[in-house]
Amino acid sequence: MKTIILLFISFFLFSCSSISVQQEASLRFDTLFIAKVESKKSITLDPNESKSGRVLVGLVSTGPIGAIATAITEDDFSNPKAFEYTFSKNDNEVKVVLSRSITAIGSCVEVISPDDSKIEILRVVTPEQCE
Amino acid sequence: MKAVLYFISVTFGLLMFISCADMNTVEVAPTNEGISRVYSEDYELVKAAVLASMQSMNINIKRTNQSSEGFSIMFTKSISAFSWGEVGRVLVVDRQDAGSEVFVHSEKRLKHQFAGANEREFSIFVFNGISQILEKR
Repeated sequence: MKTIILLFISFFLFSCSSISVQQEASLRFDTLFIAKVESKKSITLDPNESKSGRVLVGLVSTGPIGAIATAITEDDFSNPKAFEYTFSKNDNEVKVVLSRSITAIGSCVEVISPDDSKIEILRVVTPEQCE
Repeated sequence: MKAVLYFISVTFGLLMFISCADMNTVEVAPTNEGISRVYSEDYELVKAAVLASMQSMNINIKRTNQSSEGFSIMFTKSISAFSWGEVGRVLVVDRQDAGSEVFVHSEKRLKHQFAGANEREFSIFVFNGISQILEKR
C-alpha cells in the first residue's frame, strides 16, 4: 500500500513539474498597432501558480514541515499583476490591451504581440508616430 | 529521548525553511546583483525584448515595476519534483548613450538544495531570447 501511495505521489510530482528552464513558446515580436495611451489601470491576472497547490506538494513530499514551509510563501504569490490600457487610434477606434509593460498616460506606444496569449508588450515611440 | 530528537529535527527543519528566499529577497537585492549584459539598442526596445523573452519561458511573471533604478520584472519558477522553486528579478537599466544593461538575478527558495535552476541557466535563456528579438529588428 505504501509503495502505491509513494508511486502516486511521485507520478503527481513528476507530471506537474519541469525542473529545467525552457523556452516554451516560439519568439515573436509582431507590431499590432501604434496608438496613444488614454487610460491605465492595475489588474490581477489569473493565477499562474497557486499557494494551495504549493502547500499540497510540500505536504505530500515532506509532511507537516513542508506544508508549513510552503505556507509562508509571500502574500501576493498567487496574484500576478499587470495593467489594462485603453488606446485611441487615429480612426477613433478604441482598443483595450493587457500588458505587463509600464507606460504613462498620453504616451505614444507600439503595441507588440510576443505570443498567442492576450498579454501584449508596449514600447514607447516618438509622439509623431501617433499623429 | 526520542521526543527530544524529534523536536530538534522539526525545529531545525523549520528554521531551514524559514531562512528560504522569497520574492522580497531578490526584489531588495542590490541593483548590480546577478549576471549582466549590455545591449547597444535603446532602453524602450530592450525593455520590450526582455518581456517578450521572459513570456516565452516556463516561468511565472508576477509583477513589474518602473523606478529610478530601472524597469524590473519579478518572476518565480514553480515547485517541482526536485526543487522547492526559484525566485528571480530581471532589471533593465538605462545607460543612456552606452545603451541598456540587463541584470538577471535569481535565488533558489531553499538555498542549500542541489537541484533546480540557477542564475546562470535563467540568464542564458533570457539573454538568448533578447538577442533573437533584437536580431529581427
